[in-house]
Amino acid sequence: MRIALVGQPNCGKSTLFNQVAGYKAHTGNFPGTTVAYTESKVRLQGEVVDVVDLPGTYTLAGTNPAERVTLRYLASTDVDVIINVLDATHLSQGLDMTLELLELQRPLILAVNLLDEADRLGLRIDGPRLQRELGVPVLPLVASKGRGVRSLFNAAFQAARNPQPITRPRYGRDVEDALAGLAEALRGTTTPLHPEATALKLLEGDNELAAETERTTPALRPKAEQAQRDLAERRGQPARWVVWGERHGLAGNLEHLVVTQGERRTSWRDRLDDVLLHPVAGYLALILILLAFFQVVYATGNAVEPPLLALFGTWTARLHATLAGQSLLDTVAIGLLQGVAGGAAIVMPYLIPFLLGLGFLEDIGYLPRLAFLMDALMHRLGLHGKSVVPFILGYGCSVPAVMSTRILENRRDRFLAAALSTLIPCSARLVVVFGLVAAYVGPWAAAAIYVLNLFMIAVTGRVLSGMMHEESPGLILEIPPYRLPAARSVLAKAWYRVREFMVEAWPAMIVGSLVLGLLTFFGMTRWLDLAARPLTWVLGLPAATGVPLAFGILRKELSLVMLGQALGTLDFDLVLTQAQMITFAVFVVFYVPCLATLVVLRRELGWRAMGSVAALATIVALVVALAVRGGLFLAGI
Amino acid sequence: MRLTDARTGAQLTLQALPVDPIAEGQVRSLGLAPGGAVRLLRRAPFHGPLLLEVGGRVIALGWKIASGLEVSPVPSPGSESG
Repeated sequence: MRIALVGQPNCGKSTLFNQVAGYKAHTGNFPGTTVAYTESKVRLQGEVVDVVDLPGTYTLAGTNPAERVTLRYLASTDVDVIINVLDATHLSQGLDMTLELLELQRPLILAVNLLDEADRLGLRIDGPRLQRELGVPVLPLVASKGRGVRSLFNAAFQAARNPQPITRPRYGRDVEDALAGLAEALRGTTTPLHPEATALKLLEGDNELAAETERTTPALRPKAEQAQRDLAERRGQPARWVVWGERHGLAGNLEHLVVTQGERRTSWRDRLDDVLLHPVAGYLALILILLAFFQVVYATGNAVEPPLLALFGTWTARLHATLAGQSLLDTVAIGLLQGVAGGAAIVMPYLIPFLLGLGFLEDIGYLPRLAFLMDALMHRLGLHGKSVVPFILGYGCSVPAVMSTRILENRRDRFLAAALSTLIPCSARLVVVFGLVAAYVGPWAAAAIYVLNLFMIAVTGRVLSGMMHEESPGLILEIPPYRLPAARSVLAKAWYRVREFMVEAWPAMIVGSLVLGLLTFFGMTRWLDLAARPLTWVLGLPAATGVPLAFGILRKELSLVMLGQALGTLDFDLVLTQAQMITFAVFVVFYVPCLATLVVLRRELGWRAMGSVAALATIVALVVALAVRGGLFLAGI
Repeated sequence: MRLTDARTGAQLTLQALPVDPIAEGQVRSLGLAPGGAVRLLRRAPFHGPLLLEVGGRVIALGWKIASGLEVSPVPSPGSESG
């Protein structure tokens, strides 16, 4: 037996799933899409049944992949009963899809969830009335507390065992006439959905379904198109709008019948947006929140990094002593250890607090509001508000930044956001800016580099989006209510992203470190300095900076350490002028992202995108560094 | 009138979805339908997004998409409360 959970996003469907999911829960993708579903085996009344958690959608209109795969999954005969989870606080929205589910005429159970939240909002829901109106079982549920879960699944089990006839909603006379005509044409053929549901979807203009039915019933498509035209002419709007509008109206009427609005208790959550989304105060709050966020991250990182580095330093020294005389083995071992140290002592101290803070902002509900506030500004870069997330992540590490572009809808936006977010100085590049420029030239110079960086990202964004013919689809985003974050959820999210870093990026860092060690061992760094000489010459840098620049690609966080090794001193004042320090730092900030980022870019967006981002970064780095060198020369620095 | 021309705080009825099929799909996939009730909660400055209340949920719509939505004001604002 198979039970499918269906509902709108954030209705508590996955919470319900997690309440029952057993030992064999696994997540998969629908073939040919990136839409994920989770499946688990559950023991119910002595029988092992499959429970599948389908992606959250508001409709089955097939306007996006999630809707399409949900519809297809439900249409398949594998599903014995559908549990439709409804959010009691937004019942009419959920009922809209319930009506669509009734049209499929498959065993159906309604679970009205978030009843506690509805109570807080003063909403009272007449479950028995809803059950009478729809003719399917309606059960109360508080999934987060596990209340009603057992009886819900028992009812689902019964509904699958003894399927009851389902009555679909009735539309206006002209719609019903059109449906009857199409259903008649489908008689005797095998249809992907129930014949009436197929007819309705054809009237709604589901192209994929039309193509599918055309194969078995070639005469149907012209007939469906004629029916659409007739209906559109009579109603003065597209046929699909007629169906959507009527269904929405029916859902609204149902809500009026079963929901009574009592007294609403207002809370801090209702007042908060008056400040945080205010046209002036909202932006001030945004600056303060981000400043506090970065302050906490850097303070934590700064406190943790030195002792960890010292610890790895001790281990390196000990390893040196143990392997003395076996110089190649020593090189390999030290290279590997330094790769581990780079991840553990330099990246993790910033990445972990960063991800915890981000998870907190995400769970409290601030990130979508940030997207709302930043949308107009992001449009200037050819993107929309949601792409602010990879930008913020970029200050921590480019790897999660590139990964987070998955939240964007189309490839164009993903590429643009990924390319621009890799130009943001990550915490590894921060080490160079602070360790070299802030320490030897002054904090104002370091701040100027950050401002210059933002300016250049804006310019690059404008140029790139101007070169792309497609336009960004624009912001479309649900703003969830504020919720107090649960520590478990924040920790789980941070761990998930840390694990991604450990699996995707860290191995690349370790290999890079090993390669660097071997090249040094075999005395090949001289050749690299020579090969990089045209670049270092044009930037006015000493020849020895070739190696740190080239190996910055392998391990950006070590650029400064390597610079020290290459120049033979960590007292940079003795070997570099202030202009050289600034030029070096500017170039490091912009040029090719590290190997780990390149690996992730290739995996997320393909070889071509990876190559383009690397080329773009090099060009931007060269142009900006040259401009800075020229500017400093003219300014007499 | 276009949604972007509506008064902040106004209770509106959605008359038409965007003409562009992609934008129409996006708006539809959020559960908006012709004839549905929408309230314009607030707007961000500089042609930024609009914040809408739809069926008790809050949705941010970019300016461009919002300008493709046709709405009409609901005549008696008092009838919505309670």
